[in-house]
Amino acid sequence: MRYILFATCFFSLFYASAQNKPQLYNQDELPQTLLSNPGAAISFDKHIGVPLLSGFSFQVGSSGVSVYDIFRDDIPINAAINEALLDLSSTDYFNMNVQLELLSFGWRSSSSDIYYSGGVYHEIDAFSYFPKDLATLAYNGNADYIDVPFEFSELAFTAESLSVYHFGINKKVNNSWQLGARAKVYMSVANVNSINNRGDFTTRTTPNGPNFYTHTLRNVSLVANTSGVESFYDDEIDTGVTELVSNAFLSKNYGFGLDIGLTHFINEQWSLSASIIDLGFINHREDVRNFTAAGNYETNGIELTFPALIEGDEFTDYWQNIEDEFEDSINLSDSLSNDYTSWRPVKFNTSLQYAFGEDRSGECNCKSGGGRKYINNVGLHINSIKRPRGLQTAITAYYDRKWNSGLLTRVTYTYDKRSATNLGFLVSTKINKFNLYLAADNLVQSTNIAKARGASLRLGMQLVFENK
Amino acid sequence: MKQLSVRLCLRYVLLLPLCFTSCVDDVDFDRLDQVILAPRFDIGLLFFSVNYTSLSNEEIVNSQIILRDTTQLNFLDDEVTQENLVEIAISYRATNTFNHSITNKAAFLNQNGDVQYEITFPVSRSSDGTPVVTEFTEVVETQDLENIRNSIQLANEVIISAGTLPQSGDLNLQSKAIYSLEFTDL
Repeated sequence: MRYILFATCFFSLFYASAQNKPQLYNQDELPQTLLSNPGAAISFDKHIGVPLLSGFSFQVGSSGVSVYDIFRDDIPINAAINEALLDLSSTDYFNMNVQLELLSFGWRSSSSDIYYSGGVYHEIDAFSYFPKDLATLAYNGNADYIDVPFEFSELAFTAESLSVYHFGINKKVNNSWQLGARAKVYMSVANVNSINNRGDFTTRTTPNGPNFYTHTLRNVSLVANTSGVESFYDDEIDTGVTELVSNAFLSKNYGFGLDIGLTHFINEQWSLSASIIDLGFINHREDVRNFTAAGNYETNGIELTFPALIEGDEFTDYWQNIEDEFEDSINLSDSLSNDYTSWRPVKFNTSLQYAFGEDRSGECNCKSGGGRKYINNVGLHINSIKRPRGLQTAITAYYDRKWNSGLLTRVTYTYDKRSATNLGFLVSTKINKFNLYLAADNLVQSTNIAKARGASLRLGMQLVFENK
Repeated sequence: MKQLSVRLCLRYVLLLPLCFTSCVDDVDFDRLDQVILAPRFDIGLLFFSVNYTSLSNEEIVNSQIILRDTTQLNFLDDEVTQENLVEIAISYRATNTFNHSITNKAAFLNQNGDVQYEITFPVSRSSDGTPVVTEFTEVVETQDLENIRNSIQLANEVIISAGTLPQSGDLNLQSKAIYSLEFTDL
């Protein structure tokens, strides 16, 4: 319990737009840009990542509270939790996303001018809305919430660990369009999800009823699906490390996905781009366990009938009757093994970019639009990700500057409904063929990260080649 | 010149992490130990109705009719209750039209049927047959709570003082309990 609470609070540390990577989007010198838009304009002809180090991305966030809000040392922690509980709403959420590229490579076909790229990365993604009603019930109880329904529909969470094999193509079809697509095979290591829950628990006053209250479970329908995690809660099942590693590369719970993207060069300096990422699903067939609860139940308490008065019985097992009635009314199951399908959180990106400040060093930007090369870009990038209750959207304004000697920087400002002060930064350098990049955001809060509601860090190193 | 540029690049990249070096100030993670969950659950308990017609088979002993019924309260033996219950406030509301002295007695019993704790209160009589409401609340805490924790059954007695069988009246009794829990070892 302690660790669950701590983990919850730790999640509350940061806020970040889930899986939004505004520092890497529209970066024509970085191969990772192809993972957020397979149709991105790129300026390189071959790349190979340093295995395990070519791309690491870590994001964690909470939309409602920060670590400071909970652990601030100027008020008692229980008062802080109470305050947070009041402030948070059921639309607030916690999320974490980690991606680690295991393998990354790409090359341009000299005959077709198609850029082929592929690789393998491992991803852990966890997302949960804040179930305010259930948290309130657990933290405060129902005594101060008579006649107030506690909604189960607020319970919605997903968590998954998977490996992704991908291979994509990117081609500039003419001076106006650059298109790309990426096929993905997902290998699920573990998956837990519970969405589309409904029903409520209410304690109602009953002035004309037989007792003070009626407690009702109304239209209850709760479902949780898991795969690959049975060994964590069933002592009789032992999943070894070898099996887990094996699942990471070749799992029986697999699925397919597609990324598509494009860049449209309006003219030499203006360009539009758009992409859809992770349009895909995973079928879970192995090591599957489903938990369900459904039905309606109502009780006023225990009604004594004084059986000696009625039938001459000495004893009525009221408690057993209540238990039986509950079991008859609410159908509980924790031993189902029904296959299920989970959908990947699909992402949408779109951007408008303006390039300016002609580079007079003599090189042309032959592969990504016009004939001239510019050292500055400004752009607007909109990222949305589909979560169980709809799209979460962030808008980012950015400014790129290509300095001498292979140094590239980007400054970003990201706005969404919870954060208005999210400044980010990217620096990427290329020394000969060796590229190293590092990016982060929420820099304003970096002087006291406890006050930040989100943070992300991305770094990687690879060899990037340009045919000149 | 090229060597200078490479050195410059390396310097930028190596210095950059310093920009992201963050501090964590004004927070105290040790205070996690001080977190107390203190939910209060308000739950309906026993209820019943007694009508004078249902007393026709009852014996009158020492000018008293005693109705008694018992129920298991298995949740009192639950680990959560045993470890985290810090207070119970039990409330009764009796609506009576009997023109007799009535006493309600609730006895918490252990597995052997021994009384561990008892709540007794008088129910106001109705002199003219109109419903009279009696409300009574007992808060159980500290040592008395230990007696509740030792219990597993609740026996309820309705004691009606009457020399003869009542010819009219009924009694409706409602009860609820607010269970205050405290979780400290999270």
